[in-house]
Amino acid sequence: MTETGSESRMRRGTNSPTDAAVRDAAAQRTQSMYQSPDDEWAKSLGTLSAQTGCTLVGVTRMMYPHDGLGDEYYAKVVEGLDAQAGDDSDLAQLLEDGVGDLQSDGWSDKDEDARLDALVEIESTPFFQTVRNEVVTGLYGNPDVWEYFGYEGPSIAKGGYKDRGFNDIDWL
Amino acid sequence: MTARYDLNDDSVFVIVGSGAGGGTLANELAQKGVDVVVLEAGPRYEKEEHIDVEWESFNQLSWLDMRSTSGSWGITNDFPTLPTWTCKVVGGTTVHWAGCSIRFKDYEFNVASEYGSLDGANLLDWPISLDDVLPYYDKAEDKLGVTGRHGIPYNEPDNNQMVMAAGAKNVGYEQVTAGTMAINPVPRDGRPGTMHDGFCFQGIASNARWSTLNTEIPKGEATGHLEVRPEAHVLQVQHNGSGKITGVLYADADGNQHVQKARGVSIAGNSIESPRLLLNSASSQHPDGLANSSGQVGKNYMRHTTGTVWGIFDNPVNMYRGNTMAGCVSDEARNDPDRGFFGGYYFQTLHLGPSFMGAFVDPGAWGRGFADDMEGYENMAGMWIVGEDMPQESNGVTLHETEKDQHGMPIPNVHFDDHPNDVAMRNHAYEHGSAIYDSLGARKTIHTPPYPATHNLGTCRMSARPEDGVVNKWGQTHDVSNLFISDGSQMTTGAAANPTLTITSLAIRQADYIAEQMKAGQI
Repeated sequence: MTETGSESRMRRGTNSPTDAAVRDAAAQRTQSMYQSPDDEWAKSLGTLSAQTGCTLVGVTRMMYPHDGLGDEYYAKVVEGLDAQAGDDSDLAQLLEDGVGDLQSDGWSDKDEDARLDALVEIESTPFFQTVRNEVVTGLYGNPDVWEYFGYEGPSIAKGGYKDRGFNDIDWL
Repeated sequence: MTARYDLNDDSVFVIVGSGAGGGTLANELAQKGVDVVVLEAGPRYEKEEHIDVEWESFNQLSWLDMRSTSGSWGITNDFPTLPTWTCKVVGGTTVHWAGCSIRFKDYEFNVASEYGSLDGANLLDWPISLDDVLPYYDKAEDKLGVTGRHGIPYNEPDNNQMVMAAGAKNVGYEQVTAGTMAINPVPRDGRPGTMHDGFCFQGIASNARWSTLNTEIPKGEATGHLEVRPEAHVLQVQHNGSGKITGVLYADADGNQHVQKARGVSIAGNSIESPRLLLNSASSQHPDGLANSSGQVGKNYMRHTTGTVWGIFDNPVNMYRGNTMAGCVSDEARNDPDRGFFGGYYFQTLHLGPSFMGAFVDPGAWGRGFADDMEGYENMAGMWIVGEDMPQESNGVTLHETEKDQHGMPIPNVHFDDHPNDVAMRNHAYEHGSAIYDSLGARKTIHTPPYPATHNLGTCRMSARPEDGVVNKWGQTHDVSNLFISDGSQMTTGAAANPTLTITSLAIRQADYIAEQMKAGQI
């Protein structure tokens, strides 16, 4: 494991990446439709190359890994980047170059620890920070993931939570 | 009936900004028959247009004009162009407000005397005391419909508050309530009771919470003496050769510039924009900025000592079911230097949705450890820390030397360093806030650093002597008799309490003074 230095903002979890549950989740995702440049999804991107798109699915998952969320939620973040890149050629170049640098060293073929190390090494770059910011807003701001986190979302149209459990805590 | 005034009508009183200070002052003056024009930089979105989705609401309401930051605070790294979390809409930051309404304490008007000399702190006693403000606190609490005051019941505790209250009791705290909140528990003053919608903070979609947008402004407009002009961004306050303010230069929605004449002007643009406007109004008579003979314009910026403590438990809390802020522990709100710092602080419940939690719980962090915390969202409880921070002359607002905004006005740079007293208080609060959750068996507690500031104070401070501050005890500038400050920037020191109630109270008090001065022919 590479020394990450005191400046790294990467936080390790209590599960090591080799835990069985993590391995199982990863195994399930090998059936994902978002991981190969040959997949329809990757080829459907408007601006980013198929290789860049599917690599970014892996990068965004590694930044904020939720084993119970399928790749489609990370792919949605990449679709957001792709749409912005369509209007912003500097952004498109930043993403293509950033992925190109990662893949020049065979990032996708490395094991999980090595892939994480490679991201830690570039975490202060504009490429990493641009992608990371987009995951924070695009993943946690996606209404489709809220149920997974136990958040019921906007309530005013439903009369709020007044009759829907605002004071239902029972374990205190 | 909404009034309309001509640009050349120099009988109107102009107010810059429509939030807690400006919106309240506008209604109070209009009720007295004074003709008022409010120039608001942002657009007008009525409550029906407000959105109960975090980022969508943020993008609709927030002040997102370019700003720069400097100093050792975390904001310079994490949110370098967003030093504050305030609004650019009619209603100002009362549209984005939790509703917590607490009076300042007696000693908090006299902290220079109470605390003595403190290295690096530019402490000064207010030129007014709690007694001067008390009658206006009563009026403001009635206006806002503050719970737990004047016979108005408290809101029913929600899940997040029940967790904090149970833990607070465990560790021996005694002053624990559901908060004195400007959120109706039952219908009052044309607004409904709360539906505990989880969103009574960003916008007023449910209309249970007071805002100048749903109360002061429509009431003022109904008098026929108030015009609120949205998307009117004031660039400069103008004066004549004898030193009297004559009007303001503003840019409209299309960027076209106009001068609105005025018999007097009050600035209530929040503690970043108010000093920015004064500094940008420098003239040969006021070479260092308008009303800045003291050199204190833009200085002594305060943002409260804040932080957030989250507890993750083994069982669900569902903190988002309830009002964003819905409870308060007040035991630490006292001056007890034995704790290792001067001044006090409150704990107040707070929740965020997953969208904001991801962005703010640990800004910049990533990886499995971060994701694991997010997986605990359902089992999380949260509390905000809000306490007095020390005014420092070096903290504040200056005009950027090169960067300009969309109207060609220099952008503000906001500089901030924590005072050691702020750090000691925050650490004490983190530790004692964690103890509250630990007493209930929290699996983990998380300490979140301060958000972009919602409480912005002190950059045009009130002082007895003209050389010590910018305005006198009425918020009237020492240098120019028909120029006033009506927002939190006039606060000499910041106290521990959320500032909106005090801003509102001072605006009611100021309206009485301005009306008297007009009657006496002084303005």
